[in-house]
Amino acid sequence: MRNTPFVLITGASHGLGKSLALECAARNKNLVLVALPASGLTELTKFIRSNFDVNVVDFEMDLSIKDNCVSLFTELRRRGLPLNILINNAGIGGTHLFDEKDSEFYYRQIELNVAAPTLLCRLFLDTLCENSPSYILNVSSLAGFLPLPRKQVYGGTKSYLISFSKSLRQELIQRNIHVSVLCPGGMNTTIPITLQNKNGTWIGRMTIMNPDVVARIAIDNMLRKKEVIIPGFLNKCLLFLDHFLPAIVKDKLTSRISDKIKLDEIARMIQGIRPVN
Amino acid sequence: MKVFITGATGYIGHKLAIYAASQGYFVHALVRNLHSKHIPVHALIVPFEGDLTDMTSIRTAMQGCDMVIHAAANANLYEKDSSVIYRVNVEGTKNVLDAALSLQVRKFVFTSSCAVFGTSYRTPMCEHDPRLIAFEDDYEISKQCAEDLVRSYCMKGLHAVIVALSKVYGPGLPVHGNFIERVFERILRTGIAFTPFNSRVQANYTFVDDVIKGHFLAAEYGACGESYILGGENVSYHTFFHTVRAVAGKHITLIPIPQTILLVWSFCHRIVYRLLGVHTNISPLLIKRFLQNRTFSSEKAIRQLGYRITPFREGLRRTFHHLQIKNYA
Repeated sequence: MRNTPFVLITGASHGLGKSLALECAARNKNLVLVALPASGLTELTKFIRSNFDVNVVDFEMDLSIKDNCVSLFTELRRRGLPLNILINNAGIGGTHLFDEKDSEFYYRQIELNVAAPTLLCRLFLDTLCENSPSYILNVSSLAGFLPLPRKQVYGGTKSYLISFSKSLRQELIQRNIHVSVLCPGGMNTTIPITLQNKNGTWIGRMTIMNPDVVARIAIDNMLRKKEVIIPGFLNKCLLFLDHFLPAIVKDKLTSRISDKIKLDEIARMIQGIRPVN
Repeated sequence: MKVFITGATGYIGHKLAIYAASQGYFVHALVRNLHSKHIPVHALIVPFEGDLTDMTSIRTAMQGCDMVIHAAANANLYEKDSSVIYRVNVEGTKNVLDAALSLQVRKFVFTSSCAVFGTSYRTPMCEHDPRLIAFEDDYEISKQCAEDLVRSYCMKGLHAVIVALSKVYGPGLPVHGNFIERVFERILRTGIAFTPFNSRVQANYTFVDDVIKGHFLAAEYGACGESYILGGENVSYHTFFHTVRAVAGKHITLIPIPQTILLVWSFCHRIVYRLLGVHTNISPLLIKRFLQNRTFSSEKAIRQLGYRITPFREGLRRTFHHLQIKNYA
């Protein structure tokens, strides 16, 4: 186990990142997991160590700070850990009007969603090349294709990842490094998000997927060297229809507000006490 | 000492009230209907009519109590309007917490469920293990939200402890929460047990008397804001049904049913419910839950609370003994 290359997963303590870590562990891949301090990474690492026959190294750090990306790279190099899969999953989401957040929030969002994955791809390029065939999976979103209200900056950062990944893929293919970009739709990641998802329209609810399913599809397709990975049949249809449907129908489909269940209050009640899942 | 108990007309709450009274506690039991046939009867139990969504009734019933056991919950996966589950399990819990904080209750025990921990992999799940699957059904989400609320009240100065119950079995009221007893009754009556095809799937079964004592151990020795799994033995379906057969004292035929048929059958129940409104206890979510590994470790409760587990075989023997007496009577 020791000598087989590692998979680096950022934002591994929650939601999709956690599912990706568990999926890779189930496939007997050694792991380097990175997440924010006190976000549950230690517990996840402990769990994987006692349930799977893989090596796990964990780093608690904020990757929106450039120096942390660099120190992660130097530390892995110092320990001589070979790497052949890089999964850039960490990101700051959010559904809110542009003036509801301050400039500091957006700056940090851009740093984590755009600067950090770019930096990590660059820093680990040689390592990936040495251990080729290698894979890079950048986690974008359907919002990267569909400009949605309340997802301005988020959608923008995710569009960048799609464009960046497609371009980088063409460059790195000769070096036997395969770049894929994952564009999932809504997922039941945290409890507040799951409650929001339950509050959506019928069609909206039908597109919601669980992160463990998305993680399985993502890893399968990444290993098949697919360029753009869109999990879920309905999500593929929505993206296809986006080119043809009139705006009014699209608004109906993407709307997340329905009068059927009022779970907003519950979501608000627990929001303050439950910042992370 | 006075103890306020919610859910006293339910499977767990009823037993909690009777046990508390037998230990010399004065019990204030919150019930929705004073004429319910499930109200626990004992000289030391006073039923108070009220509702979890009605703050005044909670405060009146809790007046003068030193301890609170909040065992009431809506566990009905078939609720048409799922906001009812949240109103009872989350907002209701908030009301009980608010009342307990303002009335300066000394100890608060919240009855939660191992459903919040989800599925297990190779080793049984402990309190701090990460959840492996997404939260899906409203019951487990609401219980997790309620747990978060309870922890947030610890910061405000309430001494609250959480106990998480796995699949509870054993003699008790013939209500929703006590479905395992009904399964046993049916097996005894018909002499037939339908078992899932994949009989290696494991789950945790806890004997009701252990859980009841566990609540009081948690009140006495539990650390504030901590959660304790009150579970029993981890048993595969194979062991489960073979133990049932050994303990039942009569011949039981085991008929394995493939997973797909179980799921189709549960979907049929769902359709019947949707179209005709006929209430059943089977839902696809429930079947899915029963086909997943859900093993738990009660190590923390054993170590820190002195919690004790009745072996599965012994618990089953007592349950069948009770059923035989009941049927004979």
